[in-house]
Amino acid sequence: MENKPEILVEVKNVSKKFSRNLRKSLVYGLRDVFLAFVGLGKSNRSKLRSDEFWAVKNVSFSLRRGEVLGLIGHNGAGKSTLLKMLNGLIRPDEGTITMRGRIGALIELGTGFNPVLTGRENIYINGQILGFKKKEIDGKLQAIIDFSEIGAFIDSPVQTYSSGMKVRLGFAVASQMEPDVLILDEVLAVGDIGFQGKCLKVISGMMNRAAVIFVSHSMPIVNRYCNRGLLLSKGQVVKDSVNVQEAIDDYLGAFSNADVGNTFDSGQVSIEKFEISSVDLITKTARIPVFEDAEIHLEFGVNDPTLSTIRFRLNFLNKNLLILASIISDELKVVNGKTSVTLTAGPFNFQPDAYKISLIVFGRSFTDPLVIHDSRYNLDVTGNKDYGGNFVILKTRKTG
Amino acid sequence: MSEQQHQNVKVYSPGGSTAGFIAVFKSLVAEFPQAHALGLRLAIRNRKSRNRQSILGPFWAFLSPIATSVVWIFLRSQGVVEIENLQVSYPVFVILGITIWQVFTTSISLTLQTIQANKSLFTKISFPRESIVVTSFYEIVFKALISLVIIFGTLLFWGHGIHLSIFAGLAGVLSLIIAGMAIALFLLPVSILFTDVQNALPLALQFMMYLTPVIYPRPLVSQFDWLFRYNPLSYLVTFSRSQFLGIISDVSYSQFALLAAGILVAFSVMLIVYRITLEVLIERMGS
Repeated sequence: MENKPEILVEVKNVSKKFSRNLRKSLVYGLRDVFLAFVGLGKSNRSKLRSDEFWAVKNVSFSLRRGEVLGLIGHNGAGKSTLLKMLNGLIRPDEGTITMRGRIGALIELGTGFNPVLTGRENIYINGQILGFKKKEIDGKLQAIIDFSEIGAFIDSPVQTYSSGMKVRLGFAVASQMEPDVLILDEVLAVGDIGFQGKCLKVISGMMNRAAVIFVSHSMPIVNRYCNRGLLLSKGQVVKDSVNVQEAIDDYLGAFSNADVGNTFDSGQVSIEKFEISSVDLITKTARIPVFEDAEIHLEFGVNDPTLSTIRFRLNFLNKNLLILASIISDELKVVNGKTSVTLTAGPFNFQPDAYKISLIVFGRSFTDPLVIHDSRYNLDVTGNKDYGGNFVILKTRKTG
Repeated sequence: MSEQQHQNVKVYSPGGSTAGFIAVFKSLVAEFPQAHALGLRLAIRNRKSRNRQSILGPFWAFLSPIATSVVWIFLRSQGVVEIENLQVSYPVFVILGITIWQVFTTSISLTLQTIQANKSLFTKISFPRESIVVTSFYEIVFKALISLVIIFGTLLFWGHGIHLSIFAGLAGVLSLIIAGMAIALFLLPVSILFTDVQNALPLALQFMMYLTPVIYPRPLVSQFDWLFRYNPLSYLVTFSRSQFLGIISDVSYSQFALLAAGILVAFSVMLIVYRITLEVLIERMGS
């Protein structure tokens, strides 16, 4: 006898390939069906044919009752494909998936709603599509209506509903299913904050009796409600950890090299040098120990002779691209088409993590930027992760 | 652990559904009650929503066969076309023929339409795929009921009376419905991916109508006799019409029974093909 709750989802070495070319993919599909009929074609399943790629490759994990798995990854990492396989909508090309118990899936809310019929009629139809009997729906009808907060509109046609109302109704039907395994694909992105909170409460209420698989791009939600994180990248599992934050860090870390920000360059000013603690930020990532000051050195080339002074601003952004702190420089005098400055800024009492820096250079006024390098530069604040604060106090003094 | 073990275990592995015709057929039969309940519900839903969007409702269904019939009655009365060898008056003959034929064409187009309309359900919800075929069946039956009203109205109006053989006529119409659905399921994979099928279908069906004794009786002597001899629709239309009229038919009961059995087998095979190909298609339809 084991004390651990039973395994509800078991995924073993699952792979799925897709074709980039629609016609080819059809030809392959029909050929596969035909070969399977005559009992051939098993051997080439694991090989890619031309124009094919692995959407999901060799994924294995198992999920017990009580686990809430946050499935994260970039767009195109294979999350939705994996969910569709778990839900039995598409079949893996390799490996096996074993699902135990009743499966509830919300791949998209409100699928199967008929716009002309009323909310009440749609509850019955949707319930039946999801595998309910009419009697079961009778018993749950009031709870569904209450949860969806649709009130008197329940007898109006669904086409008159706002998108939020449709989402609420869809989630209300699905959440009353009492499934053993609940699969949620990014369904909370719609709906207002109040309803999101309500949904999350339902999901965390389900934790005791179900296994939940949860796809979201909202890291705070994943962090708070999931007790396990699975990071997919290019169809493969790169992290599977009960420490959700670790998976989130890896996920966000993968963005740090991506070009996320806007760039504007008037050509009037060029950035010749940008260093923090003697690290060249144009090519490298600066590192500052938490609570410490850092020396910032900037050199500009000014190509416009009418500019006698310039100013710049540095924004420090977290991974959600929220500005945590700014430095605004004094006016820098341009001499011989050049100017430079060295500042000491600090203390960097940021939560140890990766950050972005935006650099904006102004000419005569702050409404007239000459250069915008939005979140182009990278900064790691190092130190003990358990430091919880994110209050930022930056003091600057001119040192050079 | 065994106590907690669910009976409801699903295993998804490569090529599971292509394990063979018989396995698929067995699971089709096992899932039928569930598929049927859901399919009927969806058909009622569609009916309801369509009624709410239309004032004249079933009137439209009456209009089309009668309008087509009027054209032919007029053409014949003006001597533009010559149609002989009739056992009954031409209006009765042509209205019945066209109405029966339209049940068949509706069967094909409605099945394709219904499955197309539910594409998004297929890619997002796991449910018995056959329920959509059931839905199409009931939708066709709803429409066929209106056709029957036309048929009986015509029979009574021209004083033919209702014979006991109408039951054989109904069997004929039912076999046309099933035949139409089998053809639709056959066309489905191509029609989901290419709109060409929807464009070509009305044209092909019209052409088919003129090759089938719908607006004229099967000629006694013709150098194109093979066209009628090898066209199963020719037998089905002739059989249904004669049975409704209660007149002696060129098609015997045993001939019809044989045809109907053949249609049933073809339909069952197409259902299995439907289930297997749909899986391939869903994967490629995206979301």
